[in-house]
Amino acid sequence: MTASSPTARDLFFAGVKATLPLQIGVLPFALITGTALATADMPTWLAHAFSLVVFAGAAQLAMVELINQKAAGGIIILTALLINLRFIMYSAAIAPYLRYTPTRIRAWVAYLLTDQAYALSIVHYDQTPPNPRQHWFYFGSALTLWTCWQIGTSIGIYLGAALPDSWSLDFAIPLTFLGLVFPLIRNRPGWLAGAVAGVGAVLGHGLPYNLGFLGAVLLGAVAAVAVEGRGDQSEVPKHDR
Amino acid sequence: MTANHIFWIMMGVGVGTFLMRASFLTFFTKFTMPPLLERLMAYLPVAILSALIIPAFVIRNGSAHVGLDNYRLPAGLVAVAVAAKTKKVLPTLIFGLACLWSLQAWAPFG
Repeated sequence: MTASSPTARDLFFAGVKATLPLQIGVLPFALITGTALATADMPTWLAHAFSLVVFAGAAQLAMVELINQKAAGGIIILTALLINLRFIMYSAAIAPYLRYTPTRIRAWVAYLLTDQAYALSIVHYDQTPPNPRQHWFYFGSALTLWTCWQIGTSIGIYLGAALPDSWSLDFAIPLTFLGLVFPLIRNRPGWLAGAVAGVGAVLGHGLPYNLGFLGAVLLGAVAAVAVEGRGDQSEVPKHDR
Repeated sequence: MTANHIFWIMMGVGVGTFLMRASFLTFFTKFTMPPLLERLMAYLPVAILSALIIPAFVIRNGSAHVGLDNYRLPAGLVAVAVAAKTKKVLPTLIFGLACLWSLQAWAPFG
């Protein structure tokens, strides 16, 4: 423990500093997401609004994929929300550390919550003594991520609009997901979840409103939990990147 | 789909996502999650990503198309190998796209 506790400013910049190296991974992902957004048939302002309003990479990409498939609106919303369900876990995990933070400020904590800001802050809070200004480390981290995400996706949107359709850039969406999915598979039930959901989605793709897709996803998760045994401890994924 | 339609879908996801992010931070600060729900949620990302990946390789123009003349399938399989080996987005993306572009330019099975 240090003699004097760190100031808000110290904490904020410690958060920025801890987060900057991660941008090597976040920026390309933001560029890909922006480029994918440009493949969907919508005005540019709306593509930019996705990053501000949704602010979650995997969900944004999945929405573009489903919009391109002309899926029903309700299915698109439900899918994106299912992808983002993990934020409930992060919210629950980080809340005890921010118990001195006023509710109004916690609403901003919530808006900025991402996989990386959560992971970095939890590690920091775990290793430092409690401090009523704890949230400033979080804001340093989360605002760095937010800024890079907005810049990266904006560049991607302009890039994607300038490139011709014959480049098949919509194929970048499943390829990106492929790069994300393997680190998330930690145990045998995880493999089962992926296999059941993937095969099920192909078999059920003819069903109306993309219900086959949602059914396959739920079946995959249920199958994984059903075969879970000792030593298959599932844990909260740390990154969606 | 009209821009108006997409706008409301985006707002639905945005509001819903904010409420989930805010859940334990602002609303139910005294609750804990049921363990079964927590276990199910842990598998959702893998299930959702797989259900988006595999059909994107196999389904062309609305029907399953398992043959080498569907260039997205061989390109996808190459990308699966790269992803399994590297576990990284960028190499997966580069190899997968390069493979698709080569097949489209060369058109060996067309």
